[in-house]
Amino acid sequence: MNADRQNIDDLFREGLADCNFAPSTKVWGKISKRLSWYEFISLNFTNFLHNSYLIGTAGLTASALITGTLLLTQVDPPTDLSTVTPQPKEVAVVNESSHEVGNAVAHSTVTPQLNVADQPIVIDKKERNPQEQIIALQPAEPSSLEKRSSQTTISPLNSHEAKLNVETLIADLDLREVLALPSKTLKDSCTDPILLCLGFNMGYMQRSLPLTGGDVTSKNPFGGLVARVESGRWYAETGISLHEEEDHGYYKAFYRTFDSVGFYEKVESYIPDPSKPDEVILITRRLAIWDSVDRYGEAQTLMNYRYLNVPFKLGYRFLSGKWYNLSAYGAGVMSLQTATQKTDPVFSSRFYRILVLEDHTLERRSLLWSLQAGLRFDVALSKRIFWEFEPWYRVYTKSAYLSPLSKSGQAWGLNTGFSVKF
Amino acid sequence: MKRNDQKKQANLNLSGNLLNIAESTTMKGKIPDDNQIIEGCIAGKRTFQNMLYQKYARTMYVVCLRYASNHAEAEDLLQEGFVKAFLNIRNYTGKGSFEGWLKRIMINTAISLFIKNKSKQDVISTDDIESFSPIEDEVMYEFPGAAQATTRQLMQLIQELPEGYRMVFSLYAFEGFQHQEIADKLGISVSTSKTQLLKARKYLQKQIDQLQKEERLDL
Repeated sequence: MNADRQNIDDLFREGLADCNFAPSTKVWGKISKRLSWYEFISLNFTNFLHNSYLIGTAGLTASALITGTLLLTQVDPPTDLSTVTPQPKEVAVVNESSHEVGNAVAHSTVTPQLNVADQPIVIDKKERNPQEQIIALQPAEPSSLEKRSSQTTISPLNSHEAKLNVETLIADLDLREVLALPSKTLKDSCTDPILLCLGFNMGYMQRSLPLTGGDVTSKNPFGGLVARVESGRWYAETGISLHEEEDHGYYKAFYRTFDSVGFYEKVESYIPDPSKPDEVILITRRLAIWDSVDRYGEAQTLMNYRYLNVPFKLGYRFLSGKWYNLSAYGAGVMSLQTATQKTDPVFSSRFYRILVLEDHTLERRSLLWSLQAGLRFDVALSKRIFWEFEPWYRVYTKSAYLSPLSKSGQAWGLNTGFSVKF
Repeated sequence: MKRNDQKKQANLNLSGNLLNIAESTTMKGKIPDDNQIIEGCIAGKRTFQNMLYQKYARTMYVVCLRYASNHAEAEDLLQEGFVKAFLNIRNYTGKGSFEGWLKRIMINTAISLFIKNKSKQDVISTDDIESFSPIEDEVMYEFPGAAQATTRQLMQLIQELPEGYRMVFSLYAFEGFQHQEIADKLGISVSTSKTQLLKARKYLQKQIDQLQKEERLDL
């Protein structure tokens, strides 16, 4: 029985030892897709460029979340005080704020009949306790206070003291008014007529340049300077940024390869043999006999292009708070090719001489235009210094290559940097 | 002889595949060695990962087939195992053969899947037998009793085994694990491992006898 069992094990072990089954060809595709996904979601600390997908996704998600949150929580839209005309119903009433002085009782009442149509007054009524109501006035208008005091009715019991109390109340209101005036916030600073912002930024760009035979995708770091003029909610921006990108160069060549097929000893000189007077010693040199074969081959090389980008942006700030702004913009971007570097082609043979070398590298346009759209989220680090984060998408109006068969490319990227407002 | 020819042909096909991959890259027809491929995989280069896959896919697929109940499940195991291998290839220290390291990953993947599905009832299913179709030509095997079985039939018999039997039998017969190790790996008792192996052997013996009776084996 034992022997049988052993045979069973051996039967299968030996029978399947050298068997040859092949998985379907789809398996590699699935593995490749899963690897791409893992690369997409994983951080790679050795190659920061690799993380651009992740940073981009995180940035866009963060922007969407911030926008959504702000839209949901925003209950106090920005107010330009100079343009608000208060309606009579907006005038809050101070109801029977009474101050007792001895026997005298002063009842200060601001009646709804008060003519405020031509007065830029906003009165906020807040309750601190049941006995006291606070009035905050923006801005201070002495005339309005005077009018209010003129509407005050005073008990005839002690008119002199009552008048003093009313004046005290008015002075108190005046003081609270001053205290209630907010300091200049980001929101207010944005309402300044014209602001100049200068800054620098850097970021990463993922650029796809479709060719006829496949896509060239490059991830490039870039950095540059920006200048921006803001007026109200609108802003115009320009600047310069530099980026480098790599691509392949293509060469075809007829070249002659050499291989040694034999050797011979070439006599270069001879000297008499001192030991044998009738003989000579030959001084020789070993030379190879080479055979050559002409070949045709292709080689790829590494190209490096440098571009200078000048954007012309027009943006609109659609959300703002005390410490942030969120804007959307559209832009035209000019990309100027400023430098090209390439490596020499190398062919596989060890010894060769190039007979004809054809450069089939696709020539690139020196000037490219593209349309760009993006979001800009800036955070106030201080009164003048801002941190900016900007995801964007760009479509090129023409192909980067002069080849008529190539299509126009696209790019997306992320900028981040700092700006200073003046 | 036929088996040797088949193996040579497979090696030729493999070399051809690797050469094609190498041709499509800047390596220009030079097939890199294992170390270069592994370094390329560590660098995350898809070309090298493809090379590694092409080189070991068939061998690992056979391993997976022994732990799977059908062709599709084996491919899932293979896929899972290779993904794990590529994600952890930095952990390969170079001690021992790479093939052995890769094989251990495949086996551990199969074990993980088994443990995950352990709660499911072991049912002998023959539904998947029809779907099993080896790609290569059949190789004849001579075993005691003068009968000959094809690798396809042998593999089919293993795959017909209930999952628990198959797992224990494969770990014992092919990988050379002892019962204690199998018990530790599968989270079962040693006695269960022994019982499963015994039942697996009986089942296989019975199936072979049956095949011989029905002359389904090629004689």
